[in-house]
Amino acid sequence: MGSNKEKNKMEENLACGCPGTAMKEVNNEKDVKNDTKQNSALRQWPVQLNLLPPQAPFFDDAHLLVSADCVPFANANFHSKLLSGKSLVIGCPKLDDIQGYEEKLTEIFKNNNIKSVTCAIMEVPCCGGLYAAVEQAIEKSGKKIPLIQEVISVNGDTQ
Amino acid sequence: MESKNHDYLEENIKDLIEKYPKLVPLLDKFDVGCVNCNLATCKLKDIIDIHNLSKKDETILITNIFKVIDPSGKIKIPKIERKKKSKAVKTSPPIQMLVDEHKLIKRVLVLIPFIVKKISFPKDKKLIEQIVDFIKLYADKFHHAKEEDILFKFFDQDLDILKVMYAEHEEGRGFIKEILIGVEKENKDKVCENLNNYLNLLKEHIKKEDEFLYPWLEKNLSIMQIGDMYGDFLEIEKSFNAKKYEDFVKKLEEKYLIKK
Repeated sequence: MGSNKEKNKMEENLACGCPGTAMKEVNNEKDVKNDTKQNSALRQWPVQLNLLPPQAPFFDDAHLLVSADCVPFANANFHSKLLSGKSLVIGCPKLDDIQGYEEKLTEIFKNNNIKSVTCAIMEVPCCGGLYAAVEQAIEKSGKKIPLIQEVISVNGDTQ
Repeated sequence: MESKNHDYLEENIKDLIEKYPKLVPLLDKFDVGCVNCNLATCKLKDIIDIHNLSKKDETILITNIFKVIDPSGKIKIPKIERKKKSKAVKTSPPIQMLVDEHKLIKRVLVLIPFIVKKISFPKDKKLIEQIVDFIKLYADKFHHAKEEDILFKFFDQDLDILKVMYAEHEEGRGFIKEILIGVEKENKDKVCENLNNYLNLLKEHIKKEDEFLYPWLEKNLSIMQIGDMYGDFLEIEKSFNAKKYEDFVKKLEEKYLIKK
């Protein structure tokens, strides 16, 4: 990490006790053995919302998954249960510009025929900001788009 | 009473009602209308899910049902596996579309008692034909087509609840045929009788769909299926002049509801 000054400043900013940053051990299996080859459901590149243009070809006539950055790490079945059949954008509502996300998502919804939106977030409160941004963006686009929320626990379970 | 290992959850609710008539008031208390249902061949385990009872109401109902079936209390009350509730936060756009179409149809149903009171031939022949046109094209071809050709097709066609819906759609079509025969022969009684039959059928049919069927079907569709269905519904909307029928209903309301 950087200098002590920077480290102290970061700790100050995070000293609110936010559950999103509270450290803990997660009691999952120590060794996850899986010899079966899993196929990737990813159909595009890039995936970061910040890097994607609203007119990307894989948005049109697509089912869209808007996923918080941490979801694929927590949820072992991300590709098969969440991503399969969908285009993808990812981001972090805590560390990135959420207003910018809302604006870009609004443009994506306005300029493309998005058939449905699945918003996958973690159970921590800060992730709710991503879902709120998606909801607002749909509203501002003026379109009615089916929307569903998937909340993933730190243990990886779908709530 | 069967042996204590008999799986009552797999029994058809109509058979249970026949064997144990005391179940009727129990079901009525929770607005579970199996007694009046045309088919009532849903299994006991499905009626709880279809009628979207809360966990608390489900426990009370099932406990009381088994008290009727087995007053001695020897049969262990089974646990019903509930499907996970949909995580969509509100009614999805395609289902909302169907609910909104119901609203327009209900506005016409409300007018039927006023229409049958004042109907006379040949003066009202054209009006009745226009009402039949609304029912045949808006209620049937436009609305029921979305249900039968798109929504219901996602599910097993042998589902009892769908068979009930198909049967009621057919019954409605039968009443419309009779209305047209009555109009042709200028038979006021025949027209009024079948308008009233249609009103009574559709009132209950729409209630069943809005309160039970649509939420249950929606719960059992994936978000991608809902999204694809919405796209198909929007395609149908493009080629149908729904506004013409909205304007027609407004004119009917002005004629029959506004005092001059």
